[in-house]
Amino acid sequence: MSRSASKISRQAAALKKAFDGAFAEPLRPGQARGADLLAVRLGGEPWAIPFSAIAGLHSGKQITPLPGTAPGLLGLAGFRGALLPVYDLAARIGLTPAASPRWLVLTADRRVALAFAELDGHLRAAEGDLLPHGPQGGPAFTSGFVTVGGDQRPVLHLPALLAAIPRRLPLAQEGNET
Amino acid sequence: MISGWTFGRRLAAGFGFACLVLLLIAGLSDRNTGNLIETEGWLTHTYQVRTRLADLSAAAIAAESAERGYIITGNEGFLEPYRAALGTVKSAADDLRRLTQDNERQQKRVADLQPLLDLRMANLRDALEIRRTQGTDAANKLVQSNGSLATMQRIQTLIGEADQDESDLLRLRTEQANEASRSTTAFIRWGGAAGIAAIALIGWLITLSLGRQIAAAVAHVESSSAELQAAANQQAASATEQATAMAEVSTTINELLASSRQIAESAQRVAGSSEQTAQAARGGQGMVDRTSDSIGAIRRQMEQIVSHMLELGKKSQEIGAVLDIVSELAEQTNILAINATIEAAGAGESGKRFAVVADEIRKLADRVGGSTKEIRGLIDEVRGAVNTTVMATETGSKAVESGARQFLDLSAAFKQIAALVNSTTDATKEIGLSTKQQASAVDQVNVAIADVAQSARETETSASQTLQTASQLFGLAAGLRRIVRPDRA
Repeated sequence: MSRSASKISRQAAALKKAFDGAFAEPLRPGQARGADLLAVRLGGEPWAIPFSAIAGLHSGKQITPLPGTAPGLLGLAGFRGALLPVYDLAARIGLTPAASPRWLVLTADRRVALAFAELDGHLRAAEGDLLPHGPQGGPAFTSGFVTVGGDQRPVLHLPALLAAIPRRLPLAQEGNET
Repeated sequence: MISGWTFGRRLAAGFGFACLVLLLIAGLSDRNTGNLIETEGWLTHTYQVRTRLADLSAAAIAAESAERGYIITGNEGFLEPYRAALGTVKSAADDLRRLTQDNERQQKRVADLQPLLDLRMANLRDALEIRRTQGTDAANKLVQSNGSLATMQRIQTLIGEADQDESDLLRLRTEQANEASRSTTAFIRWGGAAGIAAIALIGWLITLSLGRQIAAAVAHVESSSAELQAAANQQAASATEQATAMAEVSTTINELLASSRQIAESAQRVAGSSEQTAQAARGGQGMVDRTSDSIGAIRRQMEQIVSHMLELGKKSQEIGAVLDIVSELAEQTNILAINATIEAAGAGESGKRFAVVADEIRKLADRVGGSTKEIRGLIDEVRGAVNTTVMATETGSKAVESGARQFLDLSAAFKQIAALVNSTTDATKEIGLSTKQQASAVDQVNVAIADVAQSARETETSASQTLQTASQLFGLAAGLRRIVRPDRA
């Protein structure tokens, strides 16, 4: 018991030291930081979403269902005063829909929100880690693959995915533009 | 039914029946004799009637003869027979009237005869008076004229008829008397013969019945004598065996006496050992009581341990709740860091410094999340250990309770052992005392066995005498059988 307590104390001290140490290092302008990606799991498989394609990550938003039969449409959710349609990301790319999607990403154009169930975390990929598809192409709505820590993930191409979603919510679009 | 009668009853019945036969014969003979006597009486009666009829006829004739003589001679001497005849006529007529009361026809004749006699006696008296007073001629005339001849003839006729009637009765009664005499004689002869035959038959039957019964009794006596002989022989043999067995029993009793004394000594030693065992049991009881107190203290400590462990489990749950909050905060921090990174990327060059901060915050949040998971694992391990400890402690507590109960049982058993040891000591003392009494009793039994052996010898002597008596009884039965049934002797 006392051994576990001392271990936790040492970990807390290491965290504090690392956090403080990061700010002690001088800022190096022009240093390449690589690409940031959001590691998610869709249908149980690892996927990646580029930070550049999203405007924010949210959790626990209340989704109000809408009548209709649009594929993957879960309902409406509020984002900073705007009502946006929420689609199931797995359903939109042809995978098994999530039972209870908890996580939401707001697309960069702030037109729709995409929901998914599992979030693996943040990935920082070096430039060599991102590889485009070969001549034979890859899965639909992807732009290539990223390999970090030995795991290879397809990288979603959200503009292509958004292009496949019909614009049926003009009010939302207008709200977004305002 | 008769077979069940006693000798006396059978003899009484036989002689009673014989007496009955004799009484019957005597009664019938008496009746026949009575009839004969009565018949003889009637014969005498008939003779009396005929005699009185003859007397009456003779008196009438004598009176008439006296009348004739006096009338002819006038001699008073002829009147004397006359006077005697008058008395005879009167008495004879009275007797006839009395004697013929049983005969209506003769009564009627006597009734018819009486006026004729009175008339005739009056005629005679008148004729005599005339003779005395008027002389012979007047008397003759009177005699010739008063019808005395016819009266006299009528009187004689009636007397003759009566006599003839009595003569017929005499003949008839003589025949009846003869018949009664023959009947009585024959009855006495044949009745006597029948009585003798009946008595002989009864005697034969009684002899036969009693002979059979006595023969059967004699056979039983013979059989019983034989059985008595066999029993006496067996009894003599048994008495001999009994005397031998008694000698062996006496030897065994002596050995038993020695064993009883040894048992008494052993019982005394056991009593001493029991006393020491009782002291040891009392010491053990004190130790058991102290151990019981220690077990009670252990049980209370175990209960406190369980209480502390449950409290520790509750605190672990609270730590888990705090960790949930920390984990939630780390997750929210991570989201904020990601969103800050996104926003910093959109801010261009000026957002790079902010991006560095956001990146560090995200790293810190990731590490905090990892540490939280690690701490949750540790907390889970602690809770598992607490649960295991609580369960083990509860099991230990139950084991301690069970041990305490068993120790209580042990204590009770120890007390029971102490009580039993005391009881054993008392019982051992009683055994010692009883064994001494038993030895005394065995001595008495030994004396009694000697008496029994003496009795067995006396029984043997008695059996020999019984055998001799049975042989004599058998001989007597054989002699009695020869007396009763000589043909089967």
